[in-house]
This record gives sequence, structure tokens and C-alpha cells, in this order.
Amino acid sequence: MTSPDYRLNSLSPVTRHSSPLKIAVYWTGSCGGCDVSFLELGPALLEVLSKVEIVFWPALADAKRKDLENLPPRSIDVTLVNGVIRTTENEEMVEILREKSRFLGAYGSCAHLGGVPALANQTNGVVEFVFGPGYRPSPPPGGEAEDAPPSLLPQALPLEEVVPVDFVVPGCPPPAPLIAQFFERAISGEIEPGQVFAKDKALCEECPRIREERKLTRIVRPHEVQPDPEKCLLDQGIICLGPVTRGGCEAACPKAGMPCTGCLGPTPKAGDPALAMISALASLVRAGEEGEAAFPEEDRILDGLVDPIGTLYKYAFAKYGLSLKKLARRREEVRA
Amino acid sequence: MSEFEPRIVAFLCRWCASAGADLAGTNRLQYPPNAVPIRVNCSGRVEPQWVVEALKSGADGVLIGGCHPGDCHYVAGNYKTRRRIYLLRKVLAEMGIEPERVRLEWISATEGARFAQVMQEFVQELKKLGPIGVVRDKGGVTGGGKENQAWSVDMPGTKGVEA
Amino acid sequence: MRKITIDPITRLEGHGKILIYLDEEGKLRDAVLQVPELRGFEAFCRGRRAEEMPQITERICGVCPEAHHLASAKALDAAFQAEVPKPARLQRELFYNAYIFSDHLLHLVFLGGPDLFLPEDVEKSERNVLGVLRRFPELGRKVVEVRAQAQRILEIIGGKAIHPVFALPGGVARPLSEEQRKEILSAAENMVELGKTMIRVFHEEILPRPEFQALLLSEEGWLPTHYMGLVDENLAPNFYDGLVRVVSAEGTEIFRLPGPEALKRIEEHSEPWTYVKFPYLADFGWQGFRAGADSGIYRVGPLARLNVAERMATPLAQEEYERYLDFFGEKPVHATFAYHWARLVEMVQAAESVAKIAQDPELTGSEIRGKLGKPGEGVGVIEAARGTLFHHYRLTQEGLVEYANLIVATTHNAPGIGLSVKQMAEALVAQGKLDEGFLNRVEMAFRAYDPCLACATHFLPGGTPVSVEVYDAWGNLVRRLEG
Repeated sequence: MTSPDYRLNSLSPVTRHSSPLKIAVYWTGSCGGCDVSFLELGPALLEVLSKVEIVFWPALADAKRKDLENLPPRSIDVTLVNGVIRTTENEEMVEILREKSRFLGAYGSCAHLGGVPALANQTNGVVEFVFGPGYRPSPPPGGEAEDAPPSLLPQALPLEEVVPVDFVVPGCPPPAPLIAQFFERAISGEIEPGQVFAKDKALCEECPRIREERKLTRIVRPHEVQPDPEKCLLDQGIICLGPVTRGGCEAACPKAGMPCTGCLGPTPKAGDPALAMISALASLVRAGEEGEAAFPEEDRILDGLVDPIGTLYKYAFAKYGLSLKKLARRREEVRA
Repeated sequence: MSEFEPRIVAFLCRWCASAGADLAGTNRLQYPPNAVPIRVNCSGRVEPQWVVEALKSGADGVLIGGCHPGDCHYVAGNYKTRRRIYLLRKVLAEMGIEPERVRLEWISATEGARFAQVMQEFVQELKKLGPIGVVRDKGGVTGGGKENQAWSVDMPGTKGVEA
Repeated sequence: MRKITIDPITRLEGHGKILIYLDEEGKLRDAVLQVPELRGFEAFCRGRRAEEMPQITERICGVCPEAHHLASAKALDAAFQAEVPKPARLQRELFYNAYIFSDHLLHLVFLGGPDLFLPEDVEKSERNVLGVLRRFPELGRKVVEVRAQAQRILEIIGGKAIHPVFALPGGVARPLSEEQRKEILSAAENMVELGKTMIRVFHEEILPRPEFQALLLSEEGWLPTHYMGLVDENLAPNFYDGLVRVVSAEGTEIFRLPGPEALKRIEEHSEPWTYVKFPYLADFGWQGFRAGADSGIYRVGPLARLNVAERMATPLAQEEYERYLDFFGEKPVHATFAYHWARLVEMVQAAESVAKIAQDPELTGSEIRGKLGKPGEGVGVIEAARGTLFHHYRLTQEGLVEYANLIVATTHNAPGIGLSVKQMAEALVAQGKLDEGFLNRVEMAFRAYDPCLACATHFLPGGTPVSVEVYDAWGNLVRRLEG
């Protein structure tokens, strides 16, 4: 058996960057999956590593924070930040990295949209929930005040809310073909500002499942059924976010028999993934002929959508979820 | 201190609700002037994103006015609207926004009085709910949110002002 | 008072800082490993759909998502009173052993590897996997090749290698095809070959080095604790399933229980200077940060599993296990740096297990979901690469999560890691060696555990007895709160 081959096509000389490409990879409120995702390139990784110099990457190399702080501004060519911004330390570190980097990008769903940990924004008080009331982060016995663990921010934030972001490599984690695309561009010096390394078109375009008539006559949960392996999951009543999610992952999850849950982020056309999906689901639901007589049954079908936040905003709650505080603040501004 | 006046955005379909609103006007029916009307060709054109955009822009409530079931000028547009708003209200509730702030009404072109009455009722209801974003009962997990009341205040171990 | 900070600690999964405090005479006052991260999964798992939990909890860790994915599925199997049919169980077991192989290989070469393969005085910028690949290019190429094949197995069965999607309550998403089985079998053969190669390399390049032997047998690397791990009916390690066996620092069995019962025998202690909690055996109570036969502190992971087992489950692993025990001469093995060697032994067992299961004709069977009862409460226990992992859920009638409770591998090791770091710092201070070149040695003390700190900051909320000690700035105990 041969391993997957993600050979880099571009061997063009490095013109716009220092040679080799100086890169940094940093994790904030992260699970580490993005840091090990590069290994999914397999042997192509060795080729990439031969063309880059790792300046700062705590997962794999020993440079420390003070080594980073001592670098001249804009001396790192490309920095990839993964993880959601969860603590004051995360904020500080990405601000330092922004200053030291020419290009800085959001890598993975957490940095891009908030990711799964951003579901914590639905409730406040994570520290109190975990440790109980009266818990105050403090320094170790005899330590200085700065030795206390960093505070958690009241809300988990996507990277763009803290520093300007030059590009995005989306996914949870980014799939190998997109990582390869990214490195090709980075090494050849051709990253466009604002570039998102995924397709603009929806996942449905690359999904091999067959779409027949688009009609949702029931909503079922994945453990309640064994779906037909050839047919579109949404047509079978399983909520799949393919229609509102970017392609680029070769539909890995639908191929494995499970619905897309939206990790590459919404297509530019969809915008807010939950609101776009609500619209799609509502359009597709049918309980026989449309009309007043069908209303109760339609509602019953729609009630099959349980936990809408976890289902529709699974990776994107930090970016798109509504915050009561922000609403109140805006309300105050227009109070007239 | 002046009484709180709710701000409302009203998406009104051109063929029925908007005409009904005009009728209320020409009949000089009194109703509270809290709404900003936006005419759309069909209530089915109203995207959930627009409703949310209105709430994010400072509206305390959003009204969607469409034709009665069976009367939609485009045959079935209002059926989609109904299902969309049904789901939208669920999602809003989960984020702590009272679903009553988004209201869907069928108002025909001849129902000027009904339009005025809907506006009266909606404004009353919003006055009771108060301005948007002020925590009353944070909706949330496993429906209800009562158990989350303790979590709706900034806790020690969290930094002060939200970004 | 002088302070030395290692920030951040590197070549592990997760965030951490080591703070070393010296007194006026330059003697060690204290050294702690602080975990500054917390995402609060237990909080936001509530209200989620039960069947999503394997995919949500695996986001605790992208290095060991497979462990959470299957611990979660097993908790759901129990919560729905479902029996997993054989083809689904074989899929899960094969997948799981492929993961253990891959994760251990990752540590042996990429994370801990630089400490094992490279001379200690190597330049900081060289002390990483690139340094290892430069000095051992042939091996490096093979490692990358074969790891990719192991990951491919995870992708075939799991849908994705990182954050798989295939496990559901009662079984898995879909059957495997014969074609897929053949691909897996071919990869498995290469995995076993690499296992043999790694054993050879270990005995030729790593073990003979005097510095490594000194580390293995050092006093600052010797920590007598109790040990916990899953064992099968032959008292061999089983990563996927078994009874939780705890063996004392003196080698006697403390208990051997199914997951739910074992969970009740564990309590935790928290400190305000770190977001990780410190579990201990309830029977002993919390007695502060000290090890020994009468303390409640225990360890998990490869060292622990090889201590609680009487034998390995597969032949090549058994051979290496015998060489390992021969070297140390006693059991339990308390040498912290033996974790690396134990990891190698387990990696070989995992490869052999994949090869064995891949030959089982029932692997491609079509019955892949057991019947589900009404949603209730359940506990799933599994051995992650780094140690014992518990998932405990209570579901509503609608099948949503009402309560989620996780004790994650590295959390069990938090007290041990703290003690090992302090031991090493103490030894270096006593030898007057606390300069830059030796700070990596302090890090090596935690690295042997292959910690996963994103995992570690997840533990029992509320209901379990918890004690908190509060100190003032001068290190005086101000109050102790019992929860």
C-alpha cells in the first residue's frame, strides 16, 4: 500500500520571501489537532520542511516566548495561529506574533470562527462551573502576582477579533489537500490578502451522493437510522450542512456515512451558517401539499431539529452567535 | 425618565400587509409609530439574516407581515416564511433572545384595522419585555435556562469587559 | 527570592509553564508545572445531542481524538443499554489499536524523540524532529511513510484521521468493504515491520548510551507511586476494554473493577495556581504532593500499564516486555524515564493487534448497530495512549446531554508530573546546574509522561468532593476549603 501523495507542484524559486521561508505555528485555546495536521501530508511534509525554517512552534520545537519577543518586527514570513482566543495570555501572544509577522493567518476552525470550544459562549462562567464558587486564580505559594494563571476572557473569540488576519486555512483540522495548497502558495510567495484556502462553492458540488428530489419529509438523527450509502443524507432526513459549507475536503464525512457538520465554514453566499441552513430546511420541509392543513405536521417535522446551536453553529458560534451584551450596547447607541 | 419606546422593524409584503398598512394610514387609524416599514415583494423573500441584522442594529422587535395562507401572490411564499420563522424563533430562544420579539402576522390589503391592532399589541408586548439584550431569563441548554441564571454574570476568573 | 521560568514548555500537547523558585541561599524552594489553559467542555457539553458527543469531546484533543471518540461511544453504548455487534466492535478495536500505534510513534520520534535520539548538548534550534530526521534520514523516512499508512487506516474506518466521525451509540456508521480490509492488512504488515525496526534502533542507538542509562536508573527519575490501567482476562494490557486494575507502589493489587465502580474510588484536589486538577485514590485521601505507598497518588499510561499487567497480549511485545523487565530487575518499575521504553513495547503490541484483527473475517460484517434502549446514564472507560480515560454521561429523555463528566488520562498524571519536575529541578540545583543548557532536563522530566494538557484540564465538576487550599503571597496557608 502506498501512502497518500500530496506532492507539491510548485518548486519555483522563492522570490518575495527570505529563503528559506521563516514560519511560526502557534496554538491558543487549541486541541493540538491543527499542530499535528501537517503530518497528514505524509512524505510531502519532508519536502515542505526542507524549504522552511521553523522559528517558533511550541508543539515541535524548543524556542521560548522570550526568543519570540526578541525577534525584530516582521521578521517571520508566515505565521499560522490555531485555537480560539480564550485567555488573556492567548490575546497577548497573538498580538506579539502579529507584530513579528509579515503574513499571519487563521489556521483551523477555532481561529477562523471560534470552533467547538466557542459553544461555551452560550453560558458564562466556565471557571466557576468547573471549579466552584470562590475559586480565584492565584500565584503558586510564594510566587509573584504575574505567576497566576491567566484569566479567561468573558467570551471565546475568533482570531480576527483580536488582530488583523491575512488569510485563512479552514477546517477542523484543515484537510491535507488544502494544507498542501497553502504551502505551495506560501513557499512561492503568492498568498493573496484575504485568501481562504477552500472552495467558495458548497460541499454538495463535490459530494458523491446522489441528490434526487429535494424534499424533507422527516428529520432523523444519525443514530436512529442506517442511511442508504448512495443517496444524499439530507434527502434522507439527516441534517447535513453541506449546502451551506465550503467544499475542499472531498466530502470526507458524507463518504464515511455521517453528515457534514460545517467545519470548513460557511460559503460566502451563505454567510451565517445557522440562518442559511434554517432557510434551506424550511424551504425543503413538506408534509404533503402545502397549505394550512399541513401546518401542524410541518411543525412536528421541524421539531426534529434539536439543539439548534450545537447542530447549526457547531464551529461558528463565536463569529455568528448573538451576544446579549453586544445587542444591548448597540441598543443604547441608537436610543433616541 | 421617559418610558422605554421599543424600536421595531416591519418587513411587509407588497401585495397584502404593506397595502393593509397603507389602508390604516388613509383611514387615519391611530397606532403607535414605533415601526420602520420595509416593503418586500413577498414575505417569503425575508431572509432570517435580515431579521437578525435588524436585531443587531438596535431593533427591539421585528414584525413580518404576509398574506393569509392561500392568498400569497406567489402561491406558496408565505408557507416558507412560516416555517423559517418557526425555526428562527427556536434558535433565538437558545441564544437568550425572547422569541416573542419576532412576530409573524397574516394581514390582507383590506385589513387596515387589523394592522393597527397588531402594532398596538406588539408595542405593548415589547414594552413589557424591555429593551433587547438586557438579561431577563437567559434561554439556553435543555430548554428554559433557569439553571443558567447563575452563569449570566461575569465570574471571577474572567476578565472584565467583553471584547 | 530568585525565579526561573520555562515558558512555554515545548514538545508536548498543550500549554504549560514551569516556575522554579529558589531561596536566598540558592536552594530550591519549589518548582511547579502550571497549566494556563481551560476551555470548559463539561460546561458546554450540556444540552448537546448525545450522538454528537463522540465528535464534540474529541475536540478536547487533536492528538488523541480517537480515545475520546471511543470512550464517548462506549459511554453512550451504556447509556442506551446497547450491545455492540461483533463487526462494529472489531472496527472499533482495529481502529483503536492503529491510533495507539500512531500516537506512540508520534511521541517516540517527534515529541520525546529529540531527547532520546540526540545528544544532550545539541543546539536548541536542532533539538527537534528535524534534528532527528537529519541524523537518522533512513529511519525518518520510514517513520513518516508508515505513520501515514496508520493514519490512512484511521481515515478508512473513521472517515477522518484527526477528529473521526464513525462511532455512534450501539456501533459504528457503516460496514467495511473487503477492499478496505485488504488495504488495512497491507498497512498493518508495514506497521509491525516498523515496530521491529524501532526495537532494533532502540537497543542499538538509544539504550547503550551511558547518559540514557543513567537517566533510566537515576534517583531524580525514581518516583514510587501506585499505578492504574485496563487489563483483559489474562491480565494483559488491553487499550480498548477491560477492568480497571490499580496496583500499589509495592506491587500488590488495590482493586480490579469495571469502569463505573472504579470511577467512584477517585477524588480530586485543586489548587488556585493551575487549571489542572489533581486526582488521588479516595481510600488514601489527599496527603499533599508526595508519593509513596501510603499516599493516594497514582500514575497512568505506558509505565503504569506495564506495571499493572502480568504479560503483554501479543508475542513480539511480550519479548520486548521481558527484556524491559530484565533491565530493571524489579516490578513495579518506578523509573519515570522508563515511560519511553514502555511506550515502545505498547506500540509493538498495537501494531500486532491491528494485524490480527485485520484478518478476522467478521470485520467486514454488515451488522454494525446494536438495538438502542431509552436514553439513560452510562460510563465508558478506555486506555488513551497517555492513560485511563473515563467518560460519564447522563442523558435526558430526548437524548440530550444533561450532565457530562470526564476524567482524562493526563489529569491522573498531574500529581506525578508535578513531583517529577520538582525532583529534577532539585537535583539540578543541588548539582549547581541550573543554566540554559540544563533547563531542557527539567522539561524531560514531564516529557517522559507524554502529557496532553489540553486533555488534562477536564474533570469532575461540582458533585465530587474537592479540596482547595489558598495561600497568601508569602506561601502561608490561609484557608482550606472542602467542597
